[in-house]
Amino acid sequence: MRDKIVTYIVFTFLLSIIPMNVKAASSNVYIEDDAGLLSSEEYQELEGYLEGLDDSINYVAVTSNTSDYGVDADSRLYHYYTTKYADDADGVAFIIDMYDREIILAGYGDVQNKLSSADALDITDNIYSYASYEDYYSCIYYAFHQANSLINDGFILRPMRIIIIFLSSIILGFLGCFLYAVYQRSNSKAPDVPSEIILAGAALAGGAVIYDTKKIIRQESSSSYHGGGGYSGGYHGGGFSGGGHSGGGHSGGGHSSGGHKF
Amino acid sequence: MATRFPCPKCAGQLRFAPKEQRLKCVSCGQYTNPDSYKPDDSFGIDSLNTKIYMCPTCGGEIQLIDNDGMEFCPYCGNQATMQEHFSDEGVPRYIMPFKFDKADAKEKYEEKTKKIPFAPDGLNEDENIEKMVGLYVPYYIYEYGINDEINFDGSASRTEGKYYITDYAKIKVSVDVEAVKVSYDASQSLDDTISSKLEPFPMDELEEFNPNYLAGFFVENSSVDKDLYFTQSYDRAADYMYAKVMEKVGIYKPVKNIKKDVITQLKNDMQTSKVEGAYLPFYFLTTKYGDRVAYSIVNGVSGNLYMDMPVDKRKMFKTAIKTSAIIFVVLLLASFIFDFSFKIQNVTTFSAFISSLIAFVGAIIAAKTYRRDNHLDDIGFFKSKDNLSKKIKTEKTNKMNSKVVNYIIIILMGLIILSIMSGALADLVELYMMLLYPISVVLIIISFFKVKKGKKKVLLLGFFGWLFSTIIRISAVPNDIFYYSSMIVVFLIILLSVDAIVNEYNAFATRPTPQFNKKGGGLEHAR
Repeated sequence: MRDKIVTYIVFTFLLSIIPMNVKAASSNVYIEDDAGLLSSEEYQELEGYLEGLDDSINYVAVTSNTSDYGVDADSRLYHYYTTKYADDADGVAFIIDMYDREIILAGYGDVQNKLSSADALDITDNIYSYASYEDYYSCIYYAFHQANSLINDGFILRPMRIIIIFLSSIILGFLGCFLYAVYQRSNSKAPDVPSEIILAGAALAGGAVIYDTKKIIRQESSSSYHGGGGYSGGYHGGGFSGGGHSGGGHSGGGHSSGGHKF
Repeated sequence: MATRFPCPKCAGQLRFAPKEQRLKCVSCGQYTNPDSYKPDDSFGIDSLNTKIYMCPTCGGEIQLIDNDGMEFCPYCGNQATMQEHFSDEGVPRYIMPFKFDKADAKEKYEEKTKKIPFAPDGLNEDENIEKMVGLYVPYYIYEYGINDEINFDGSASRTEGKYYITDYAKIKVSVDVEAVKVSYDASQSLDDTISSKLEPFPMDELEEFNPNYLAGFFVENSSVDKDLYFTQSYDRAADYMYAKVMEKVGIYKPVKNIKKDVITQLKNDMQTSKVEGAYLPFYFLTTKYGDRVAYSIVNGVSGNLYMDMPVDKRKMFKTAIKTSAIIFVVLLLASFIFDFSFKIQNVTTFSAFISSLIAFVGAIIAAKTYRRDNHLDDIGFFKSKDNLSKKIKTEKTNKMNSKVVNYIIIILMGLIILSIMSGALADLVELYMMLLYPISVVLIIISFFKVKKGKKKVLLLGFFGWLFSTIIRISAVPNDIFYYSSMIVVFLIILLSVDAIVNEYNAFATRPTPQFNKKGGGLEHAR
């Protein structure tokens, strides 16, 4: 009887802990504060905020101060994300990399369609100053907040993009108009033509006396031209089409990302 | 003053009418055949007794042939009382009568100026165009005779069955030419670079000199020494004969580059037979542009037009503001459609490239302006061989400059279009930015070599823009405020550079007010 009771207790205990492990494994929020930038309150608050977002999307927030797991911050963030989730699983990941003094925001899976590299770049442009002022919690919070806005078809401000386009447009407009003016003027000018030369009372006669003739057997044209075809095929198949961007970088799904030094 | 070309019917003034190729009376409209008409006795067989008018501002001289007077100088555009004196200049052997009348020339000018963007308003105003004058410009015709036999080895290849067959042959071309006639403008005021753009004249339509063709027109009185173009004409005649010899060898091609040898053979046997003068017809319009002048010249036979056309900055900047607004909207939309954004580091690269491009173009324009202002491509300006500087004999213009810019623009545009078509623009922006920086470094280095003695304002502004962009990029301070305030400074420098490059171009598109250093014609000696 006693054995039965012990067995029952052990079984009940196992039953009680198994669901807990499953819940932890399926959680869509993963925060890794390796650089120790967040206080416990900030950690709790961030966790609560991320858990309140979309259940179907993974959220990974990382702080790091080591060069392990990759040569750059983007690679390190990828390592953290894929440690916990498959790289084609929908997710948003953000890293404050104290080693490179850089922040990176990345989208995985279908999230890339909503959070492109350009979006990630604009968001990190908007929030990098929090990291500069050592307000790491706000930096992470606003990274996910703005990413979440875009994922839900919302709107974010992009002042940096607009300023750059504004300045570039002015330069291109002014320089373009000048080059257009110069081009039109050069086109409207007649080319340099030497004055006409007149030949009067001319008698020119040419003659040729052949003193040697050489014969060379022609190569079969078909074989030589097939050689050229072989080269073309090899180049196209191996060099360019196969290697490309979409399959490259990280094996499997790839991701969108953008970052900013701070 | 009584007319020197009195109408046989009413004694009114006759003027040559280009369209009818006859003399027309301005009073009764009667047409007279210029071949049979005899003007007054001031026109001899070998001489032309006329009034010479000299501009007190530039020293340019002009003969008025029965005109109503001269209210402005056709060389410098100044309205001044022309100082007059009599002359009994000799006349040239030939003349080519006008075929286009003044109305045609004006029409051609107006038609062309309308199509050119940012043309200064004053240029195509009626009051300005009315100043267009018909002017006979002196030319020299150099004649060379040759009797020679050219020998060289040639080869011709063909295919027969499964063989390539090459025949080697001794080629012989006998050349017996009475006269190769090469013409050069003998005018000091007409820049050689302009006359080459107004060519060709149909030289076989030259006629024996007849003063009646001058009725109602002006004649330039500043001819240069007849031996001034001797070397050039000699070389051109030899080159021309080389081409004729090559036409005669049929399918045979020289087995080695024998051009130099053949030309040497031809030159050794080429004899200078004579140099003769001719008057060729132009319509001349001179417009003052600040302290410089802009010439518009129409070939009086073919209608070919040359124009100095500066850029009206006010018009250009107005259009530039509108264009910038359009580019802003297009770029902003494109950044969302093609999903790309900009790293501030890339903007520094972009501004460095734009600055280097401005420095490069500015250096080329400045160097060309220097050459033009100092007449380094205008042999005629120096009047005689003695005056020719050593530099003008040795320096050659390099036509690679515009090609380099064109190639860069074409390659960049091609890459951008390809990227857009392949949908990879966003991914390739980084790569392009990596390419732009080394290109900018090369452009800056080349610019310093290209500018030579030209003004360096645009080059230096471009260089400072490039240098500032480079320092910002290298410093890599992770602070957008620093970056953006620095970039605004860089972009202001670029805007100043654009303003400076327009000024430089306007200097290039106009000419300094001429100052003629020697008067009197020499055409009478070329008869």
